Amino acid sequence: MNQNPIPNYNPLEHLPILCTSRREFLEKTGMGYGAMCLASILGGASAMGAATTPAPAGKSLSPLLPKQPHFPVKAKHVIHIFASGGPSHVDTWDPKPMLEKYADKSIPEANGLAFPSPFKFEKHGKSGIEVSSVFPKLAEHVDEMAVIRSLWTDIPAHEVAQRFMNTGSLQLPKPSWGSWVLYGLGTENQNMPGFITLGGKPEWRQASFLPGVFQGVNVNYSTKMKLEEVLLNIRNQFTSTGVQRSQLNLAQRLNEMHAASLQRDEQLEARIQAFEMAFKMQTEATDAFDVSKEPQAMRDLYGSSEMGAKMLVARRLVERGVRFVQIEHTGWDHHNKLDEAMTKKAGEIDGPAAALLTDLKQRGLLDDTLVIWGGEFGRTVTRDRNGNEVPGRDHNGRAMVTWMAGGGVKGGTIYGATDEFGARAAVDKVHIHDLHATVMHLLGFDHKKLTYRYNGRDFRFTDNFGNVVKDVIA
Amino acid sequence: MFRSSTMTISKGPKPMRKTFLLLALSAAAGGFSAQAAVNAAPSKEQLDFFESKVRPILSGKCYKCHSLEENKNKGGLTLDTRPGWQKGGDSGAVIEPGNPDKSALITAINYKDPDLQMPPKGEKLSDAEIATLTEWVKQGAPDPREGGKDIKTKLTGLTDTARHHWAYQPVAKPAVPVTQNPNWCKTPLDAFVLQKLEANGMVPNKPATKEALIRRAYYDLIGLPPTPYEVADFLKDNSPDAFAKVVDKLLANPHYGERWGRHWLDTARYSDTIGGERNGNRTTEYRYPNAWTYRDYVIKSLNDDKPYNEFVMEQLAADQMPGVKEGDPRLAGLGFLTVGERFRNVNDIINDRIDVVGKGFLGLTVSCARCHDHMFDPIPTRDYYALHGVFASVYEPDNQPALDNMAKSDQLADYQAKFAAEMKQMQDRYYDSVGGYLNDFWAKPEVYLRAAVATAGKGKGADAEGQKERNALIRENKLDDQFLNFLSRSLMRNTSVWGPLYEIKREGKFDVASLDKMGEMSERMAKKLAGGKNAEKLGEKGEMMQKMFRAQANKKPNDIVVEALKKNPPQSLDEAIKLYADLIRSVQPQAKDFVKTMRESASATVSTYSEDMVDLLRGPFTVEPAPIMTRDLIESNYLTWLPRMQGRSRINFGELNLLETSHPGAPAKAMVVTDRPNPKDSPIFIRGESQSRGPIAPRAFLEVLSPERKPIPFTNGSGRYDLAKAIADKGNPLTARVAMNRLWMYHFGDGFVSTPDDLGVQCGAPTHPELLDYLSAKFMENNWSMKKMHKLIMLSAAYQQSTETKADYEVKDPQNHLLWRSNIRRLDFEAMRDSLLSFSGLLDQSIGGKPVNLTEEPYSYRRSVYGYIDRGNLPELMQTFDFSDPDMPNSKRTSTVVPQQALFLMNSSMAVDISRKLIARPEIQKAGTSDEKVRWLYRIMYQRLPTDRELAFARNFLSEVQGTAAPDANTLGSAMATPAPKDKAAEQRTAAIQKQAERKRDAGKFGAIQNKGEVVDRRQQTAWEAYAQALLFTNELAYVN
Repeated sequence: MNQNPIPNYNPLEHLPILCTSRREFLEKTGMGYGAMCLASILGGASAMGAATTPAPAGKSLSPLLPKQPHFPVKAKHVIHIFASGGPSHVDTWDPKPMLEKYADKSIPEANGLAFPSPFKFEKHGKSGIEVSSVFPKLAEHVDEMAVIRSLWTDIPAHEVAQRFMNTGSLQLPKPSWGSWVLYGLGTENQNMPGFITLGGKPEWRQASFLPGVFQGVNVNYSTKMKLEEVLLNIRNQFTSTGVQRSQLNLAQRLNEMHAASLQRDEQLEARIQAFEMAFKMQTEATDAFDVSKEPQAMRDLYGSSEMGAKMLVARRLVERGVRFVQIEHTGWDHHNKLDEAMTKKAGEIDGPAAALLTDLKQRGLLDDTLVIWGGEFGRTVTRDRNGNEVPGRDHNGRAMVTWMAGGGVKGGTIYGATDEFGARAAVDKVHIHDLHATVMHLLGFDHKKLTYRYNGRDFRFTDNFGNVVKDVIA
Repeated sequence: MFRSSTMTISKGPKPMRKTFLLLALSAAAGGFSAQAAVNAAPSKEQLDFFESKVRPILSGKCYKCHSLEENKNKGGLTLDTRPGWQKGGDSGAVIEPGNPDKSALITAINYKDPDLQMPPKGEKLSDAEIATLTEWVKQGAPDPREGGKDIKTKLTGLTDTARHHWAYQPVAKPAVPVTQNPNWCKTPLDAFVLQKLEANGMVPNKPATKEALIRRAYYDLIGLPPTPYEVADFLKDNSPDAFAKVVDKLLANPHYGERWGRHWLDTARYSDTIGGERNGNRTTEYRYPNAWTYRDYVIKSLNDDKPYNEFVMEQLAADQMPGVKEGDPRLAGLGFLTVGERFRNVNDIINDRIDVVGKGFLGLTVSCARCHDHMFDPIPTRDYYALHGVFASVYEPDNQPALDNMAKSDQLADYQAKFAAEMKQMQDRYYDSVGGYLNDFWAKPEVYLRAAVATAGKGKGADAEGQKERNALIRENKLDDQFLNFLSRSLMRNTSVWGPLYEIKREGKFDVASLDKMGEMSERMAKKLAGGKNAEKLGEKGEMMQKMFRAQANKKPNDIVVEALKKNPPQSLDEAIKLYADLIRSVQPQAKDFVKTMRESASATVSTYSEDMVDLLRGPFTVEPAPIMTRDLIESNYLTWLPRMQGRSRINFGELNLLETSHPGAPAKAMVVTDRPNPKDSPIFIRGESQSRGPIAPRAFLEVLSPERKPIPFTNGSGRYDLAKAIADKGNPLTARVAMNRLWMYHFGDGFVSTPDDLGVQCGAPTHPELLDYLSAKFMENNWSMKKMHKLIMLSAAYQQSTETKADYEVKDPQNHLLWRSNIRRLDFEAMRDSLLSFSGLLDQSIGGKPVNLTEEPYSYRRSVYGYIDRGNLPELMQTFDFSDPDMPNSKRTSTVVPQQALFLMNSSMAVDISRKLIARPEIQKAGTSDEKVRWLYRIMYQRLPTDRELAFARNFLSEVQGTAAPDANTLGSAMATPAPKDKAAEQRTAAIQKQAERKRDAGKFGAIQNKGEVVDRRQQTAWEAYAQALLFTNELAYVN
């Protein structure tokens, strides 16, 4: 018989190798490093998927348990206020007096008429950072902020740039920012999802190739909504809590008998835990979204607007141990009527975001909570061609701005600069990958080492790029 | 407990590292010119020279862009190691040691070649630095810098080691091994499994119970649980072929195609929507109204046990298969290529198709070779672009062919009427908008024309000045600026009418004699588009525009305009504007009814107006007689302008799209592709960038899979048919192996190779290589019959083992690679949802048809495979249950456990509905005692009888919740038909939700597909219903064992 039909192929080499160590076993589980690092955290048990390792009694097996990052740091939570649409930098955090001089004249190297900001900039705080008049309340917090004025991105088209900001990928579906953070850090409250979004596109919260457990949970929160509508299936309309508890007790008893006949299996065990978390989430998660439980003074601080309520919810979530909260604040695509539109949008977030910073600080939460504000790209410093009489600005990927506060950020910092007109980032340029690397660093990760193996390759949030901007770190 | 080292893995697992080393070695051994000279240890003097003079220049001026350590390799070149420059960059060697004149590096630093100047942007090296480097090269470029251990050399799969990867070797049927316990073996497959177990001193598990086995078989083959009656029959049947009969029955069951069809749809990244940017805009045609015909084609092909090789070929080239005529149901198979995501860039669409062909049929990540040679597999970039040419040479015809095999609906007439009405409305809105804008234009021709040409200036700053002028005009005359934008762009393109006006604006004068040459301008623009990167980006739209410009170029100047110009040649812009404005005013009598006439014309030609008159009257718009203003024409026109202009009639193309997608009378069509009349080879795009063209890659099959690694160019049309033949060829080592690995995976929980879409070098070794080959050979012997292979596998002793575990084996082989037992597997989303429907007796067993909404009330009772899959907006529930990501081929689903899954079973109205209908089943209704009811519930849900303890649990539960839960309509023994007591509040809630659902249906064009039917009654659950629901929660129900 033909024993060896394939040249250069020794069947003996292809015998499955019996694992000699737990680590090796994990490498072979096909679950990737997610399961692997989890297992090491859990002290002996692998995570989901690994078929059957006897689980130590009493150990929870959730891959969402808190984990230590690569090095000790302050930031433990992230609140990302995503100003989608692409807010103008020269009307907010990056003053450009040169635009005044060139008003309605063409600017060298830019085909169009210079469009000076209709807003005045003033210095604020001890740091004297100049802020536009559209953000009077946030301006009071500049000493807590690092303003990055030299940020830039690759492609100034909404869809692509938004994907890039939230997943670090221009094109291919990749895990979202929050999913990477959750994968790396786990979460502190097992009765709540660890990554919650208030709005935004599904791809900004997707786990993609990371295990689904790291996917963000979107909550369609709105002040107009009934509490029970905010989380899918969070409320039961048919059964009392008492009856449901009895149902779960019964199911868990049956599960025990089932497990006894099969012997213990981690997946089965994890599923039992999931029902318990679900049961608790019904009260705890619902409670987190119930801003009516806040004292009146606190509600006044945030204001009664949609963004006010969302900021307050963000704080309540972080307070409960949620790892990553993203709030989408839409409507920053100001092609025309910039004056009016910018005043309106900034007005929506100014008070609430300032209240969030004040509140977090008062509670001592700002130290370990990183607050990030920014959009997907900046704007042109010339008039948008469609703006005409009530002008606006077109998309611009070469210059944009973001600020970060809390969570180990060096307050009162201006980092980088755009050219004299603000047309493009010029000094100490910070690419989106660099921003991502910096945030991962603030959370305690070497962004080059937080990886996940998929499709035969180790992937990381920053792809093959990213440099940490050390100067914005305290 | 946490060890950061485990999280900070940046190296691959062992097999990869081994591969890497081998690759590195083979690369180092490759032949380089002057290799010996270089490799000879540099002398002390040379070393000093290098360290003191050369290295500082390299590190100071070059590493920024050419350093492996810094991960910068522009142009594929690194200069911080000797192997780096020895290997060279994307365009070849950069240093020829000893020969500065032939070294590209020296040419570059001397700025001799305008296209090759390094360092770039004028940062030219000093003369002294240039002299140093030249001297160094002359010396033979002595360089002590080794690769260093932590510096990676560029990975490449173009090595003999990679070519000898097991999966690239021919399939040969191995002999069935001899085992110590042949009695255990029921099929030849078992010998392969047993041999490995014995070699490891292990024995197989005992057989599964009959209850477990039949449940496993049902879920595996049809994705549904057996009914209590089917279980009872099997338990009664003591014949030796009892199980074989079950398998045969299931393979003949049309639900088989639904279950296995769904597996294939995961691989085929099936979706009913286009994804990408337009997916979010619900007023566009973002749905594929006919994707479902591909889904049904897959289901039917599997039910028919179509030989897999034919299945493969049809999905690539059904239109070119012998005997396939128009309307042939096989044409629907081409949906495999077309149901992918629609990217804006045509090369991304082509990439999606290469990806799905590579991973789907060959288990190869061919798409990795788009920007560089594959890092692990022997797939050069040339291979990628050889396939690129194939898919660049196909297009999707506007009119998809209707399919013959689909049942004709009696609602066709209704559909056609609705479609016609929708079309009429669309046309009306179009003509209304156009008419409105034209009236504005004709009312103030001077201002509009002046503003339109304002920005068409020449020279520096003209644009800015023009903008200023235009702004002033807008302000003073209250012009519609959005319309104006469109007007200026559009008039500029209609050169036969408006060319002279733009000419005089730009040049300040106009030569009447130039009228004869007006076409040249358009030809220039057409050429620009044809050659420029724009055409590439615009894809088919670019081609359309080229055509448009060409047509324009060939058009003679407009006679009406020429006459006016010749009569009174304008000397200035003012005169020209006046001339045009007068012309417009002079044709107002004709203009009055222009749009109306076109709209009302039943004929495709209108004789009232000359062609030249139409061209003048239409202004910036396309205005043709109604029969010509087709949907595509309106859409392509409308999408370029109307969405940006506010205040006129909006056209919602999503409505037509919805009608086609959901109306039962809409004819079924195949999503075909067709070869272009002039198929072309593609050039290699260097680094994947379409602007950087390399050599032409003739259309051909992959090198590593071609005889003697010499690809034979494809000659039939685009080459799709040749490609199909090459993939479906029995000599192809991958096709059968990939199919058998997946088949095994879906039966056992994991394949021989755990990455079913990648059998390349990265996948490592299969757990049972001989068995995989045996199955692959057998598969081809059996004329590629899937059903025969299912049966062979399921009748094996290996398959029929129990799932029970053994502590010592768990230590020895925790992953069960050796198959010492069966794996427990969680039901996937479809099996879970379909099971619930099946328990409740609600399941709609019909096969095929248009998609339904799976996740929203009112619920559909159709099987989950018929769900509407919106890749741009996958319902949260499906994501929660690990539904396959439809953006790319994905044959293996993850299996996560998250609380949201629990919440669905605990709280969703669907779960409550199921438990209610379950309790209402006649078996439960008729059962005389409480215990008997419980027994029936267990039979239905768990395919077994409850133990005494479980019966006691049930009794306890019922008494515990008695009084809290709503009273059951029946007390035991009394008639069960009595309706539950009335609950006014619940009735109101239900009515409100029903209303909401109906409103949503009316607004369906903005949402997903909406089902018709009743929402779930909001009344409180009874104790029995709560009990049944609790049984839905258990692990026993969620897992197959």
